[in-house]
Amino acid sequence: MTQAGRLEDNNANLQHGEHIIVRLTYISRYNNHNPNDEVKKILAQAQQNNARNGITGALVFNHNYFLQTIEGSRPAINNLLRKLIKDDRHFSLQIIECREVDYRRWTKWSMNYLTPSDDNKKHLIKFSAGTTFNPYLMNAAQIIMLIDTLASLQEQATRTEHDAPSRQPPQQVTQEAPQPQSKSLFSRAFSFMQ
Amino acid sequence: MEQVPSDAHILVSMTYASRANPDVSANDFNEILQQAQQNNAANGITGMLTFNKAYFLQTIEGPRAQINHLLSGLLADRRHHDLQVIETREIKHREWPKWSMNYASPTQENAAIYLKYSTTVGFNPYLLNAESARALMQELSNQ
Repeated sequence: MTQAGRLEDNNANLQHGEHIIVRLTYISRYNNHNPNDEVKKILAQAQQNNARNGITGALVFNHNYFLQTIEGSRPAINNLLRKLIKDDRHFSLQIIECREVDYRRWTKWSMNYLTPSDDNKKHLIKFSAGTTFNPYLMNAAQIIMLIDTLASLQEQATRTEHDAPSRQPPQQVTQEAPQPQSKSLFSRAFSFMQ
Repeated sequence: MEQVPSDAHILVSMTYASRANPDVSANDFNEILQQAQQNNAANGITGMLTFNKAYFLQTIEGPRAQINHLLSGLLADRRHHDLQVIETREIKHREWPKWSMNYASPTQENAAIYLKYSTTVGFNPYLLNAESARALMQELSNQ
């Protein structure tokens, strides 16, 4: 073990800032042609570790990018940040914002896999200056609002699925033709996490 | 040709605390400061550093990609450990435009400024929240 590593362990109980909740948002890049399988495995593991360390948050990803917000005690968030920066399964990690908060926005884990559906394009274009989605061009407010918007949609979709099907007006199903596709992807990703 | 980072339009300020490794000498502190001043000037990074024998507290400001690149370097630097990011935020303008790295260390003269934002007598940035860290750095800079 390196000297720095030993020191870190010895100081494990001496860290300060445990009483401070911080919210950290970052973006990173990765290359995977089939993210919906491999990435979910990685994320399921990550989520278990996070729950143990009191870390909650939200994640949005597509085949190129991760956009993630994590919330927890300052030392816990920084320990996770160090691991994330070292993790070579993604690269060009950029912290977009890290701030102290009085309470968490995310009290449970939220995960969204962005499919290239028309529905999602609509939300991406809302927060983008250009026609292609590139979070590296987006500012903190845009990135955070995008995560928020998609998470809210997912919550709605999950609620609808839990409702009795008879409560859904039949015309709504035909009106929102692209919805079942993205909904099933959301819920597949989501059920994997539970 | 140098690659232009795609987020060069976004100016951020990042503040972190870290613990100096015990074998770091006074000479090392000078070297850290000099290196920071040279590298930062070349990369459009400005900021403020305060330290004693045990701790560093530093604010760096510049383009988002450059600040994050510097953070990776700082995390790998063996002269300190247990780096904690205290705050990262977008800013409209720099706080230290004239300084590639301004600095201050606790002395008898500025002891009251450190104490103003501290619960303890000795300087320990891990006990500061983001707001106090920001105000301390500003006040140290203004003296």
